[in-house]
Amino acid sequence: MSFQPDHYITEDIKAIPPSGIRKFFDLCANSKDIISLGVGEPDFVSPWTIREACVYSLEKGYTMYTSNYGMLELRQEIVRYLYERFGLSYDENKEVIVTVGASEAIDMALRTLLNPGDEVLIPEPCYVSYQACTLMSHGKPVMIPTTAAKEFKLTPEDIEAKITPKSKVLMLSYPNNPTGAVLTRDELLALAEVAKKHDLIVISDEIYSELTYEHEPVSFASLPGMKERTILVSGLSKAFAMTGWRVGYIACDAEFIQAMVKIHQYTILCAPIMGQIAAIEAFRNGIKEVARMRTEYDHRRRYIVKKAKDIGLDMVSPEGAFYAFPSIEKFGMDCETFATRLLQEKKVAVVPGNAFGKSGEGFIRCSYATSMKQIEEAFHRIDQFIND
Amino acid sequence: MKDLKTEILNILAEDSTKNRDTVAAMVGIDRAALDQAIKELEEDRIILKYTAIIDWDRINTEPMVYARIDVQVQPQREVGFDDIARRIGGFPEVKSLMLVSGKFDFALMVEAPTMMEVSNFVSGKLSTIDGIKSTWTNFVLKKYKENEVFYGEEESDKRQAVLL
Repeated sequence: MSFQPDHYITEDIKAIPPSGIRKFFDLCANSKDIISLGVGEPDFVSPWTIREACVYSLEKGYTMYTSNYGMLELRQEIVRYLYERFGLSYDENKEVIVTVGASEAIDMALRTLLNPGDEVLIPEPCYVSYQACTLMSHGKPVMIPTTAAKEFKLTPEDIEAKITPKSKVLMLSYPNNPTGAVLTRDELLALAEVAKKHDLIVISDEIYSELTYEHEPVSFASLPGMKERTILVSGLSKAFAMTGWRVGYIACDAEFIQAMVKIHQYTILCAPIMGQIAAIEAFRNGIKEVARMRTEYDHRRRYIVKKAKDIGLDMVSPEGAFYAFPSIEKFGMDCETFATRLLQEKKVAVVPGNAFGKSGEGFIRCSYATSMKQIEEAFHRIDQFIND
Repeated sequence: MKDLKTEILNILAEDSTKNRDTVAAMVGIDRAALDQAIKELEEDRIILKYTAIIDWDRINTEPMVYARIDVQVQPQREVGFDDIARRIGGFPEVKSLMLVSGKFDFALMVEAPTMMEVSNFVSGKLSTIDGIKSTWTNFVLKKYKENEVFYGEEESDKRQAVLL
């Protein structure tokens, strides 16, 4: 019998569905001269002060491991930032760990919390890793569809409907990728009640928290009684335009950190020191750049909201992150067909909504992390595509 | 959110040729309100002029000569520096003029077709103005960045076309 790699791969990994829209991605990768509204990362390059600080540190010879928890200086900056921005108070010695992006943080949090069969409540549409990481941790993802009718906002009733004795973790991700939805303090308070009632641990992915446009951001951990049951996940990728540096962090109860550091130290050891040094500079001197970028995203967002209305694209007005999530239902195509044809006929790339879960069918994600000029041209072409 | 006019100004300062309908949408007002706001800004001389940043050296067969000239003056009674600033700034060779702290009083950017003409301007016109004590001419060798823009090629987008 010939050698078959498939025999050696675990059933758990095989059970994770491959991305259903791989074909579409390949199509994008092979297309030339396209305008892409498909990119889930800032179009800005990391601010120069951050890049310069890293270059200087390399010249000085900072090329070694750091503490498993991350550099103390960086943890201090994280703590100071969380206090000043969200009124949160954490101990840099016990309650913070620096991770390789928020992605590692999510994986580590789930692996720390889940026993086989434990259920993770995941509002959908959502970022793609929650479901996969839950499966890799032998947990059971329980998807909670949110709808355009309710502005893609998760409600207490939505959660209640999916609660079972196995429910253990509630995954929150606001501002949301792909919908751009943001929850107000009152809306979050209502969810906090449910978390308390059913004794859920909340993993709050707040990677986009610097990018809200209508209200000041609220951290879930800052709500009364929620700090102890919240694993706060965030990072510098979106706010500071530092995606490639791979620096994220977790702030939460010290016992959770103690548990998580076991995974972190034996798998990752530490986040790369270059990224950590860059992150220190970002917190110290990059905050005004965050504000500048936010203003620019906001201009683009308002333009898209107006333009979508003008050309007859139904859309919930996004309030955070850098995504708009219009409905394409009335054009009589599924989202993949729509996206494929838009790419082939008008050379505009968007992401089919079903990439973010079944409830994303009927929508497309348009990222406005691209220049105004490109956005103008893209919407001009979308207008032609749907109206000619 | 910032004051509306400041927001409009920031957008125009970045690109004054931007489509006005687009600008209106970006700040969330209708076109008529935007036009009115811009008209007011122009009338109040908050917006002084719309111009372009040009890499002249790439298009001129005879490139211009630029110099930064530092000037020390004797401020005059009652009018301080303002009167002499107006005299210096009146010359078309003077592209910009600033009162600065430090060893000198004024910093000028001067532009002329040849080094000789810059020299003639300094010796014949500038330094003969009453109240000017000394001048210091620094010829520009190469321009790298102006109004936030680097001369040369635009940076390309290095990101992958689609990313979740």
